[in-house]
Amino acid sequence: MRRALRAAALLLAVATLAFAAIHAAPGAPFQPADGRALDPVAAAGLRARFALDAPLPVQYARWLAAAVQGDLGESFSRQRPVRDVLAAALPHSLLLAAAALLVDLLVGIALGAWQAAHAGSRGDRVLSAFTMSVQAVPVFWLGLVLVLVFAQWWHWLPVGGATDPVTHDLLTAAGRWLDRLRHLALPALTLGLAGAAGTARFVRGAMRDAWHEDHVRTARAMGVPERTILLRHVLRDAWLPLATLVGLAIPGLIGGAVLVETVFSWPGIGRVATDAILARDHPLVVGTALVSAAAVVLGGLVGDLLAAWADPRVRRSA
Amino acid sequence: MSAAAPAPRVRHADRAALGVLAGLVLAALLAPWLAPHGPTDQLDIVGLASQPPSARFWLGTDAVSRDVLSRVLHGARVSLAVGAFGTLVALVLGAGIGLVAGWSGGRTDALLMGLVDTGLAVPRVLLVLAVVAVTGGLGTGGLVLLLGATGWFGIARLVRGQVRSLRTRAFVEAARTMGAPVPWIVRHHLLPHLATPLLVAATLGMGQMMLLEAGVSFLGVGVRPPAASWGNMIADGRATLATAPWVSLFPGLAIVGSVLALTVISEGMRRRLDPRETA
Repeated sequence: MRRALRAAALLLAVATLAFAAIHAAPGAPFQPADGRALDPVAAAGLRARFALDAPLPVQYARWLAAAVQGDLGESFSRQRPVRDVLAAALPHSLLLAAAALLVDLLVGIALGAWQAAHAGSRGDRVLSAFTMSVQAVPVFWLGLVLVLVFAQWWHWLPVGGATDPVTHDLLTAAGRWLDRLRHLALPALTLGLAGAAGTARFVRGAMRDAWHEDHVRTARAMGVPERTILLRHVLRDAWLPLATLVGLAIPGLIGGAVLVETVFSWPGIGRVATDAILARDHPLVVGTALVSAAAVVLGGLVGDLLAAWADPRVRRSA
Repeated sequence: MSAAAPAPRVRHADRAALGVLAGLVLAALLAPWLAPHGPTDQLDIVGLASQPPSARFWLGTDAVSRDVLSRVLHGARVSLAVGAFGTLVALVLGAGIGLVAGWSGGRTDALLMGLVDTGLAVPRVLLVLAVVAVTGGLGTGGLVLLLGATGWFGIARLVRGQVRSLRTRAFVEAARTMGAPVPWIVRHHLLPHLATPLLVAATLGMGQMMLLEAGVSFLGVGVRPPAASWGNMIADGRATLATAPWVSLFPGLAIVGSVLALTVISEGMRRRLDPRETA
């Protein structure tokens, strides 16, 4: 309950800040990009249409009342309700985020666990150097390199977009799925690999820490096979910090998604946010800010729940 | 955290990283003399556009016939300077706010740390984009301030934690009992203890700062063309990725090299300073 209140307070703060910041900005919406003056009559008409001539507190109160009911106003630049724009983009973002998180965790845990089990070996050191290098790579540049190799040189995968603009509607149901998967592969791989490097380093550290715990030493002294120790005790212990990591990974995932969605022309929230900011589309900016904040809050919540579930002490008391 | 790799190899990597970083800094400082051409010179837009790397153009030329090597060298000045000064701003802000929070405790502490938690939870790219949108575009100086102003949260938390534990140490309590003024205690007892962890964090932070600068410049809201930064060079090369990939590849490699060097140096310092790691 306290958590829910805090989450709501955070969302309200983000919304208020975004609303205030965007209205304090110099420059006005509806301004033609080439610097020509806008016809004053037309401007007044537009301002009246979007209720921009009311005093700011009134605008804020109206906007807030509407927002609580799920109405976030109308996007200036797309001339559609903000809710519809976000609703169209959100599934794409969730799909990309889920796929990327899957790659992140699968690759990250596999690498980290292998490294922890072979700590100090040549392979471990090579992989450590590798994950450290991947963390130094700008995620958008990684995306471009993958595009270059897999799309431009080898023509295995499409360059960008979520579906094929020409053939998608003509395909069979199975063909459409395949088309989606092929479009998803590179962006998910880019975002996932960037995160996997951090996850691998984290898992390796957490498992090495668990290695020296008393119950692991006891199990080893009792002659439990190394493999069982690794899976049943060490990985189990490392699971708790890992659960928290998932929550912490969410902001990075969203930030990375902004860049990756731009590289791959992926029609998600990140691109909507970038476009809205560049177009000074106030309602849409506030809308995307709210969605991102909600994602961050939810991510933290999911991380806590996972941690609670992973920790028998908490699980029993809950 | 992680077990230390055998000592000799680590020193090797540290030395290599220091060498890479020193080379990059030198390249940045000497760019006007090292670069064969000016960073914005269009040599021959018809005959010399999108030339692959060759003996004449070591890293090739871009779509408007500018020499990529010269631009990478000049870009080093912008990218490294933005990273270094942005980190400096973050360091000053983070250390100051962390000191205040850790020293005063109570409500001030709770409020400031709440701010830090919120700041850490918000994706920085979005924060920077939003401020750029609000201000309607920034110069490079403004960008440095902005990157610093969104990059101090982690440092503040680090300093706050250290200060909270230092505060209860005997030498600090003794100084307080004797009536030493707080600024004096900060200067003579706190800052010396904070210097090394701050240096480690700042080295790592500078790499992150450079990645962020590259990201926002790539999105077109960071360092503005025609000034060359590694990030906006990558964006420049995107249009000709299929035909002239070297335009995007080399500035990207420069970023990877610098960030990796900074990370290795930071790790090396941390390992050397942490007694548990050397055991």
